[in-house]
Amino acid sequence: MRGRLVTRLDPGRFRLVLDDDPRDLIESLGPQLSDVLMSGDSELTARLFPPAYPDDDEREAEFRRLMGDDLLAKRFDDLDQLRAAAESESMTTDELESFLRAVNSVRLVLSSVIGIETEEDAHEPYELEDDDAVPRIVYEWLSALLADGIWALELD
Amino acid sequence: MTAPMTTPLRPPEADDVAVPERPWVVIVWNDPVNLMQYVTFVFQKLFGYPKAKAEKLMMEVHEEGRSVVASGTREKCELDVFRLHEHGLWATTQHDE
Repeated sequence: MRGRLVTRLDPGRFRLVLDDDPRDLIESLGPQLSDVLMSGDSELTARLFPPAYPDDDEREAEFRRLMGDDLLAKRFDDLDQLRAAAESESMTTDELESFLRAVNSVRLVLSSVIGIETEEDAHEPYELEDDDAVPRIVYEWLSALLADGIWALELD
Repeated sequence: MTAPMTTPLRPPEADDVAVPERPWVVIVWNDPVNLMQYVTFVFQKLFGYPKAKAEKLMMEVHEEGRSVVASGTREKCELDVFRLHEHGLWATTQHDE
């Protein structure tokens, strides 16, 4: 049977059950996500910075002014966990939650790369030769990682 | 001798009475990316809801397209929206309908 990708060692202590290659992949996602955040590419980051007041431009501008920097800073904090988790033997609850937020941020960016607009899009079949095969494979694997991370947290 | 003039009792003006602010609500919208178990977990974590309630709200988002997950002052709702965005969910806030 396929084992879980995240397990709980003790209460409040968790481990990524990953070999070196998947760990290297996780680690590589940090700089890539950082580049996307720094690029200001609104198409790729739209899902990371959605509107709070879609029908009120003034309130939305105020919200962005007050909260925008904090939200960006928190995203950078979380993506540090991608490298930390890849390199470490165990994580605390807070570290795992931060790691999962970062994994989810990568999934949100990938969904824009792949062009996932509806739930049907997410399940569209693809061939390995397709241009979006690699992002889709990574997206699906990160979904499994996130699901196993939630499962492990719920053991606590 | 004429009676002293007295000021008639002034009726209260509408703006003298403290009008409580209409409550604001936090709405979470469905999206094709977030996992159901992740959304449930975020609702439990951010709002302290028991799992059954968090799951019910999540299913409402999933099936109806949106759900009201919290309410309060505008400031409180904005903070809730911020924390939900931080977790990758799409949330908005507006006056209670």
